[in-house]
Amino acid sequence: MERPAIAKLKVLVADDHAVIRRIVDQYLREMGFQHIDTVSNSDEAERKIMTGDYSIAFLDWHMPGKSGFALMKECREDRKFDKTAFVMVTAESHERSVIEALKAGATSYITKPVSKAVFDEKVTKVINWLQNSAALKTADSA
Amino acid sequence: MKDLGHIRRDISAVASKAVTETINTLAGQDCVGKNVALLPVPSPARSLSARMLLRDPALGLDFRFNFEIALLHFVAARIYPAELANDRAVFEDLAAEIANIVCGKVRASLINQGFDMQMEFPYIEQNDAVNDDNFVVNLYFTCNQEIPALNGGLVVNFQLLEHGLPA
Repeated sequence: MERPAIAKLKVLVADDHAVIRRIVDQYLREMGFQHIDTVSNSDEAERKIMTGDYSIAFLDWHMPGKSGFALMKECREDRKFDKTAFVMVTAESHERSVIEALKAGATSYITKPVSKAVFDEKVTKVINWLQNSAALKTADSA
Repeated sequence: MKDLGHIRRDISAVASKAVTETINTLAGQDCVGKNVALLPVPSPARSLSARMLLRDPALGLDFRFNFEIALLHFVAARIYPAELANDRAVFEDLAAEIANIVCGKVRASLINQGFDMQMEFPYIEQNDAVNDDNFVVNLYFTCNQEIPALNGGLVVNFQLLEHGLPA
């Protein structure tokens, strides 16, 4: 996906720690993203995400209140989020958690702390997923 | 199940690796390393402490991360613009998130050993009992960079309770 196309994608970043919101926002802007909303709790994340406007949502797994994982699972039950990529962000690198997230519908999984190189690699794969899901959607409707 | 001594050594190794990896990744440079020697414990006025609890019915873990503020400032200055990098709220958020990430790695390691650890949320506490005898394991980290006014760096201590933590 070209930089101008990336610039049009809307992204939501939900994490209760400001430092992670800041780092993810910075990394995304360096990749060419321009429409980035950041929120600090799951209530706000839920309100924003339900608009269905976002192409990618980065959700912290372990947030006070509803976890990012629970929010992602709920969204995945609604067809309106079929083309939304969900990236779970967590400190845990336990295989069980990765499998659980992917089974529940996460598009990708980022383990904190994340370097810029790893972040770019993961987000590039997410962009490819978005392109493929858009292509499949077009093929379905043709 | 391994004995408590083994578990304590495993946790020390995982926490040590996670502390250096986390701080160095957040700072974008090699700024913190494990030190085998005792370091001066920062005075309460110059430090900030993040606390984190992990629970399993058979095992409790109580972690305390005692940061010298100069170290937090150094890391924050690599993430935030200068006008925000010297803010108490930024230091507290950074300290709590480092504790959160490190304990997440410890939890994953304990799950691998068969425990069902639940992790609470980190909180900031008044730093007046850093060398409490109950915190039996002390890990010391020094800073590899020249930071003005830095004496030590970071002391992480934890205690392991065989029958879980009190509610």
